[in-house]
Amino acid sequence: MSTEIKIKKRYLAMFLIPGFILVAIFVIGPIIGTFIISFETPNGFGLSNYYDVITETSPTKALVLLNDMPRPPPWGALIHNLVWTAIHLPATTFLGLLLAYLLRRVYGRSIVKSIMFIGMVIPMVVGGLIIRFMFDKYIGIVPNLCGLIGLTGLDKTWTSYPDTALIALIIGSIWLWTGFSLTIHAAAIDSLPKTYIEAAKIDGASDWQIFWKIIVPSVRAATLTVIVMTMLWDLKIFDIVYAATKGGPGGASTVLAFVMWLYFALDLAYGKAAAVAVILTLLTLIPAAIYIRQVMKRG
Amino acid sequence: MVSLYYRVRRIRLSTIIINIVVWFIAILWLLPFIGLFMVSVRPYSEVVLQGWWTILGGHYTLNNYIQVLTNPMYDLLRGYMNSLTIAIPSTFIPLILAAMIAYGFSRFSFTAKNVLFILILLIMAVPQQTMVIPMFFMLKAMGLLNKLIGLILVHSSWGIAWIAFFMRNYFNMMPREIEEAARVDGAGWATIFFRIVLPVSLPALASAAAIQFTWVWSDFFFALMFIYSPEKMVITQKVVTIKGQFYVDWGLLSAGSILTMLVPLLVYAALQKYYLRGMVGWASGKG
Amino acid sequence: MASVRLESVVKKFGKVIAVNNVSLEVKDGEFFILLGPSGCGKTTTLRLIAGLEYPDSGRIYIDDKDVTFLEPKDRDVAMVFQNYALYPHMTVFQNIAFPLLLKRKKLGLTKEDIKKRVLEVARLLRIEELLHRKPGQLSGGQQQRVALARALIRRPKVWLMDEPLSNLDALLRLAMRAELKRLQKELGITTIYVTHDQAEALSMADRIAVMNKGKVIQVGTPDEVYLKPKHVFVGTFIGAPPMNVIECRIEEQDGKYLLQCPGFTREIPQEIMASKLVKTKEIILGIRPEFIEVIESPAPDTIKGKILVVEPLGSETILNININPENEETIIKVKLPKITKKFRPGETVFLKIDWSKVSIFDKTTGFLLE
Repeated sequence: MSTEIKIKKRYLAMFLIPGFILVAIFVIGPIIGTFIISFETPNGFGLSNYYDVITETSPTKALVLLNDMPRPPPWGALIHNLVWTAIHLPATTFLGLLLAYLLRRVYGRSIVKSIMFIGMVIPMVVGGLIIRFMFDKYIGIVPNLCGLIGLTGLDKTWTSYPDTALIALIIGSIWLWTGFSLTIHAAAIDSLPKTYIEAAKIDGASDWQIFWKIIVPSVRAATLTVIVMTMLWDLKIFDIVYAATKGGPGGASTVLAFVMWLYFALDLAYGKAAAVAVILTLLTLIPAAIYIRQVMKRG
Repeated sequence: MVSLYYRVRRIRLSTIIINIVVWFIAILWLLPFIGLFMVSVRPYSEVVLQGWWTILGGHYTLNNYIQVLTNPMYDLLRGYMNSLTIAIPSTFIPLILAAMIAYGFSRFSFTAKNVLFILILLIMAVPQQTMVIPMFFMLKAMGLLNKLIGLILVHSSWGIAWIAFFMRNYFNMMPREIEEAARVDGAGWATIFFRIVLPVSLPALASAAAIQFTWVWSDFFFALMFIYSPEKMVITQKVVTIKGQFYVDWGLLSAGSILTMLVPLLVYAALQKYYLRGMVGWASGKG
Repeated sequence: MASVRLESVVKKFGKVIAVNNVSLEVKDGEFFILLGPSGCGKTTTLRLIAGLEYPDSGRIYIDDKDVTFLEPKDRDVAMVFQNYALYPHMTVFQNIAFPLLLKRKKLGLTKEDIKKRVLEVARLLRIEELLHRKPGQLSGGQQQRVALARALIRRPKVWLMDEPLSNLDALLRLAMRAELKRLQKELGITTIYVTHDQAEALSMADRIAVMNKGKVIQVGTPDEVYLKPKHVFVGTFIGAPPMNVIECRIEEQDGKYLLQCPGFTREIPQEIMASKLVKTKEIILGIRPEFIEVIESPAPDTIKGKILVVEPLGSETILNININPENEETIIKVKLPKITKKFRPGETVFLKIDWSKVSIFDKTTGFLLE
């Protein structure tokens, strides 16, 4: 009896230890380290880093900047992340789901899927550069189209103006990320038994009714996954911002991860950078908790 | 003819509308890439004046590509080499270590299993920003800051969690009889793992490798934090430096962008099936 | 060449007792079959012998050596799995050679030796042509042979088989039964074979252990378990159609013992009279369908019944006969070897039971009353 357990323990250790050593030293250690650094202040341990970053009013580094509303951005990095999520999350989730459903009747659907998925494959830095390109006054398609249909106010390089920079990035991120929702939802719809839809058709349901009454409820788990992953992605956004606007102009398109980097790389204020990182991490724990619950339930 | 007639007649109006709408969206989605490509193969001076959409009558040249690759100001070639040097080991090191962890999780039961598993899920969820500051000082202390090997270490450790999660789900669905047969045939655990389990899981390993490789290749934040000398910079760092401060040459920038995304796109094209399976597995936990 | 002995082996999975105090002795060179319905513990018993599971208590011996907690590789057993468990990434040759390759150093084999042995086994199983294919390119029957070859190559002490024929189609299964038995006798390897198919067990085994709910109910030759079931479960699990069971009462009247069954009452026949019997009030009477004669006209010592269903099966005919007008469910199945007369549903017939072939079970315990 005991020999069996001993043998098993030895083998188990052989499998787990090499990987976990690396994870412990280079992932878990630094994560704990960030929390510690965030409390380190010139006057010993305290909350002053958090107080400072939250009350910061410089537009490029502020987390919340909602004085004299309503007005165009900057509204603060945290608000930008939230606005980003509020637009990007429902848009990509729904568009992807709808397309996944419509695709069943589209000729060349695998090509369409591949096209939509490119945004998920390319480096996000390149995604950011392309967003800048799309919204460039001279060669970008969006400002030129706006000019063509008479929207003269929008006939400009969107990423260079505070009132349009953030929305340009959000639109661009919808373009990049819809393929994710489409792919996950298409996989879920493909795994539904064909008889589901056929039975509904025989019962006389319209395509629209089938979508809302059959498809949407039966791919709930996939939708939840998409929502959670999209929330995490929206919170972590950095590369796009760096490549397209560098958070500008004047902090009009900055986000939490970018502010963290500013504190770290420009101000060399490590405690403040760590405080922003901790705030960011705590925010990701909300979708993470949903995700973990879902995974553990499935076993 | 008759059958064709019936087939054509059977297509419903809604199907036609759906096809038009969906294909319109698809082309809209593709448009930025087409534009990027057009700008990259034409002189920028011409594109600025005519717009890249005027396809006819323009001049076509590979000058932009040659420039970004070889001009020491941009030096994308070195970026390419650095990115490859980092991405290849950063794919295979975590792959093997994570597969071992996953196998331990899938085939043994032990007291701390649930705790460790939740830890892995948590690591998957937290942002890179959570660990970079202490990591910066650690690498500095170890003399690995601004070294490719340091970045390999970071990427390898960071990749273990999600690959372990992905492979665990795959192993959980893999029938155990083959391993039991090997045990009865006289194989020990190490033999079973390396000679039976890993070869049999090649499809899943290919999925994980495809995704991990593209992610490492595409990474920008870790590189930005831990690499600062121009000759050590990876491709994603190199490409953003192409855009100048005042005057942006979109010809060079678009050629650089295309070169940067070429490698992930090729991986995706070559391993599409595995790539998509990996993406679904990463997100929804289905192996 | 080896004997296998299990002593009071218990295996629990959580709260479920999969194997409940099982003791068995398999003799050298014997073809021994563990027979039972799914979930009866037969596969777990086999896995305990293989070393894929370890018992919670009890001991397992191979050739009088205690192997209870040895790793499978140290037991010198080979196993054939239900779905064959061939290594999908290896060719047939590599599959068969794998067990030898692992012990190459220990056995002092050269590559040539291994090749020779593989070819030898492949010839024995007539799969020489397939050696370069992958398992995915083989039919079920071919995969089966490869799995057998892999289990033979090491010349193990004990051959373990977990329902190896259940994934084959019906015709192939019959052919493989004969071939497996021939192979086993030719090589003389002690074999422990698990199946839920009673016909397979009867046709192949030297001895059968019938299991139910984790316990061994009876161990015996095919004839013994078929003709002299020790428990009502054995009687009803073995045979197609299974043994007829009729719940009866025993009453004492004027110094005589009466057998009261649904549909008929009679004095206990001399053939089954036993001292144990008269002490028990509630019994189950078991009689196999082929030991009942069907007579068309009333005769002494017969039971009146009505034919409900006639099942002609070619070489034999099964009649379902109701013997209790008050209850449609009281049915006796009768197997007629030859079609002497065409019976029709609805006909009234008279059944004559061969009382020397009747088994009487205690209704409360289910065990045979002897």
